[in-house]
Amino acid sequence: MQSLKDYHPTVSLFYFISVLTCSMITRNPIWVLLCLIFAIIYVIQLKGFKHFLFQLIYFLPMLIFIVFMNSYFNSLGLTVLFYLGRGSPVTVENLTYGVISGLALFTIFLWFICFNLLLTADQILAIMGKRLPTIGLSLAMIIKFIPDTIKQGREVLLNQKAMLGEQKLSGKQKVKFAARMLTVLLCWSMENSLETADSMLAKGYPGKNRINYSREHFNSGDAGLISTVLILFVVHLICAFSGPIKFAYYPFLNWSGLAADRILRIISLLSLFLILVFPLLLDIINWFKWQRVFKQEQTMQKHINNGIIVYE
Amino acid sequence: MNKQQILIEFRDFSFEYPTSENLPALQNINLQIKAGNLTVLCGMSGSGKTTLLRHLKPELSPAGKKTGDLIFADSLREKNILYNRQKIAYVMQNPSNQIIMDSVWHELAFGLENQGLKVQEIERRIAEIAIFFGIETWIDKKVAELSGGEKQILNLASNMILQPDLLVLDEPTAQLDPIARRDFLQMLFYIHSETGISIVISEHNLNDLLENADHVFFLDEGKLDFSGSAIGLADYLFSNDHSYKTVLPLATQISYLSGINQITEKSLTRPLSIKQGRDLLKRALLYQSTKTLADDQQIDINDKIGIPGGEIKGFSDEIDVPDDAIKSSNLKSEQIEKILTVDRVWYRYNPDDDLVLKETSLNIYKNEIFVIMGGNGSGKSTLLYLMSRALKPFKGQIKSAEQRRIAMLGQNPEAVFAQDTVLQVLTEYKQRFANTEQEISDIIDLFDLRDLLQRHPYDLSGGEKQKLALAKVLLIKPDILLLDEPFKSLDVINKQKIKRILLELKQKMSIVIVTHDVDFISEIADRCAMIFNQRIIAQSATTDFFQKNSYFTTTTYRLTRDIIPGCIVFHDLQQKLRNLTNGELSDA
Repeated sequence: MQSLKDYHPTVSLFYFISVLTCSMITRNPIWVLLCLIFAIIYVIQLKGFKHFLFQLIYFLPMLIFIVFMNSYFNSLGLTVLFYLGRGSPVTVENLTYGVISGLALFTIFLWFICFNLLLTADQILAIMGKRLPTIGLSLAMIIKFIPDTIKQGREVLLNQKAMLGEQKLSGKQKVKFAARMLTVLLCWSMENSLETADSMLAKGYPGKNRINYSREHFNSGDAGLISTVLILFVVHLICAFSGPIKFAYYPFLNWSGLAADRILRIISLLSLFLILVFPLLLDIINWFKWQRVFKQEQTMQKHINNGIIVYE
Repeated sequence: MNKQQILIEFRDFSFEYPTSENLPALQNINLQIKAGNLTVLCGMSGSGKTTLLRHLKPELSPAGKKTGDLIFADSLREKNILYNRQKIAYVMQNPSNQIIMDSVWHELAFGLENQGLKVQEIERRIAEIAIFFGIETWIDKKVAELSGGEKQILNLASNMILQPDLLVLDEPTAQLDPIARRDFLQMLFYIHSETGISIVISEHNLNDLLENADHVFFLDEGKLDFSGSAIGLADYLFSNDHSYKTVLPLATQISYLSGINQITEKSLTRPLSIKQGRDLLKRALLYQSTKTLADDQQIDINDKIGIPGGEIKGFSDEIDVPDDAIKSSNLKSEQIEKILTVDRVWYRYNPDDDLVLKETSLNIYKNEIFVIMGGNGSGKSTLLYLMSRALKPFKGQIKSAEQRRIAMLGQNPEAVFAQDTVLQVLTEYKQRFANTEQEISDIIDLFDLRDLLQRHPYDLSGGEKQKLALAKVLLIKPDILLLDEPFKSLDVINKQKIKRILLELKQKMSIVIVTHDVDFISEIADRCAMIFNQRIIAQSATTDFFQKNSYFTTTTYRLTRDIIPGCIVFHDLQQKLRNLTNGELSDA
């Protein structure tokens, strides 16, 4: 299930902005691990376990690389485990820092996978068009223009080769040839865009009251979800930054945030948890709703099968 | 007489482009566009069709010197809007360039957004138009994924969604293949009959169009030469022996042939469609045969329509194969030199893509014109690029004799123009291919480019661009000339000219042409091949090729099949009819 998709794209946008910010603001292992776990769950929920494993295969070598680089170039930390090569020490501190940084990176990466799946380019354009109509329009035109131009560029190149037959060019000639191809392409696409401009005029652009139509409708449900996410997000930021988030890796591992108020710590972790669990919660609620309808339908079916039709 | 409302009227209207040194683009035009009509505007390229059409849409009307009056009906003017933007829609030639937005629904919404309509209204109109045009299935697609024909249907839809009173179309099917053209025109006729909208359309292919036209205007060199019905136009062109008459549908043209003309004059109508043409031919033959059987006996010829032509006296089923076809089928024998061999070639654009060509083989012989036909995206152009060596096959070989120069011209002549003037375009490879001044001058004269030498290539008309590109390729002095859709934007006069040039060039080189233009190519091709499902399916001498096909064949053959056997091109039919009438004369 992808319940977030059923809502206006701004809901997804706000959600991902908050969740990405939460994942990026700290290197506190508890925060990072919490974000990671939910990112993993959400990716599995959206794309399946196989896909996640596939991502893991890519990620593991990267994690090792990050940890190695950190330990190699960073000699901070007091608890020395062993020495690498020409005497750069590997410490518990820089090792932990490397692993946590790597995991934080992985978390962000996973969030982007979800983001990509839930927000299409069309939807981003729709959000954009509402706020910045001219940029939204330009973007839509560019998206149309790019594949056309690539196709034309390919055609120019092929035609030139096809017209002249096989030829061996020196380096200087190659540059000249490329410059010529670019001229042809530029002239051609400019000529074509004149026609596009005519077509825009013919359809009444710009028009006095031009509006921006998008297929997405924003309703009170969307507003409710956005405000929930935003409130949780702000609460989390305020509480987290007032202390509990702090964590020092060097010279030795030290959760200095522990000194902060206990209630603050609990509120900030709780709000983070709620933000993270938010899309899953939506899915679960929808699943139960659906189950209920399904059960009703099943009993109805049973009655029909038994020859009794019940009108309720 | 029912009085139709006049939408737009030109009164003694003349127009002159600021830069032109020649005659005005439009001279003393007097015409009326009537509401509810499907008006066809025809004329040679450069006769001022586009200039006239652009005046119908004030936003697009060109800058220049105007004299006379151009009057728009009150219903076309919106009160507070300076221009009549919702009331007149304008569809242009190029399917992709007119599209503004990235996806289909967005493109449909564009005009409505400009009008500042309410969201509910926009959604209702999009839904309505999508269902009416049958495009619901691809409403979510990106426009880049659409075919040319689909794009043009989208352009029609995105204009119709503005609910115009007048729809102006400037050669909307010039860049479409025949199937896409048919779909587009059918859609247009459907809109016309369902909504009664007024339509003005200019086209250089009049087939299928004239039979649905309510009114026809014929422009010649900026002057309105004829205004009236389609059949009236035909009468006018034939009585003045105007060179434009060859653009008329073939069925109409045959009705003026000697031996048939008398029959048509009796029935008072002239055929415009293939079906009407076949009826006429049957009737004509019956008339001839009854005339010889029983001289003065009165027979109601109408009763006998439907008798298969094969039974009619005077014709045998034996197929006459023209001499040149025999010559060309001899080409297959070993004595004639193979100049290029495509040997079991496989091709795909990317490793993951579907195959474009699959085990394709063919031979090109010396001094022949070989034509490849086939549907859209069947790999025709790809095969041509492979033969030109611009693409390399991933399996198979393309062999040509040493020192053979191969030159190809693609579908869009713009792709080879990098200079600012026509002359520079022509002299670009002067040194590389050792062109003498004389050669260049000859080519310029051959393609009538003398007056255009200082113009920018992009300012030329479609036909002129095509001629310029062809001239440029010929200066390379190839042994094998490969042409991709070379007749797409040419009018009849230029087509005839190119035909003569190609037949002349055949003495010096082999020519391979990829085209959809069956009728035209049947007059010059030695051998034809059809490509389907990634392979060359049929490959034989032209006459043989078209006689075996019943659908994918020339208009003449479709007109005369089972009535007068063995006619592939118009010339064959003329010959046969002449023989028939002569035979009768000698019998008498």
